[in-house]
Amino acid sequence: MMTPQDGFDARLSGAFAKADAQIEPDERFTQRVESRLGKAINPRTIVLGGAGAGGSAIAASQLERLADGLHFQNAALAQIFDTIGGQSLIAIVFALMALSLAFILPGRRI
Amino acid sequence: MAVSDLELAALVVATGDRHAFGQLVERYQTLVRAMLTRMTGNHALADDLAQDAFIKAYRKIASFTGKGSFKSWLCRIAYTEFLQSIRKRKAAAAAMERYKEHQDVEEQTTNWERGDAMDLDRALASLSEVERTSIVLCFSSGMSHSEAAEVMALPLGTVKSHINRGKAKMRALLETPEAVQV
Repeated sequence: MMTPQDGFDARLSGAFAKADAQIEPDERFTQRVESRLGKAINPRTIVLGGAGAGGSAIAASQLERLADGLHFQNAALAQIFDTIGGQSLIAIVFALMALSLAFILPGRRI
Repeated sequence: MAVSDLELAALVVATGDRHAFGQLVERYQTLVRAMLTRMTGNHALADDLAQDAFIKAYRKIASFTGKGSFKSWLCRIAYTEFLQSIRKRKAAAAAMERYKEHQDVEEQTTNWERGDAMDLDRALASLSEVERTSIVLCFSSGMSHSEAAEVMALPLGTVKSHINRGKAKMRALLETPEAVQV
């Protein structure tokens, strides 16, 4: 048997259904969300990218012989190499590579 | 065959595919926008919060393990966005006043049908925030009491009490129409 409470529940459900029916699917809403996704930098990417870059820089700085035998023909590059040191330069390059991977991989599509 | 929510979520986690996430947005935008519209009583604010909720869902999608439904997981994020929007306005009471002002503006500027939806929103505005959320999740979003309890992170018994209290208040308002007029 239907109680007065059941009757009110049914009326309430009906009122919600009628009110919610006025909210129609909006293609522009989806487009707006998708466009914002492109701009959204995941904090996880920054943290993991930063950690990866730091780790790579430390690892590269431990490889003493990696910079041996590196000689640049380009004067500007040679000057940078002499100023900051070959090992530091390689550590920076490794760190940048790790950071780039952290930003590129999440945006990759299959 | 339609791809399941879990499969789409897994694709987003694995590849960050925005279009896969766009499919999830298409599936659930009406539900989330309706839920937030009923909670805030304001169309534009609800759409802004819904957008923020989807962006947050995209960022946190790796935490969706498929244990519960995607719908519950998403509604929980939307509910958190709603709570944060209230906190930003310092106090829930002040926020409600603001929502009512917005409602008055909408009443004049939109071509929404007068009647049921308007009465419903006014009756909802008379409830406490938890009562309103409990009622909206169960009657608008079609959740069971236990799903609503999961979304609100409250014990099942507490949610049932809020629903019963909320329904009693709404019944008193909706069944005496003159009481709804503000």
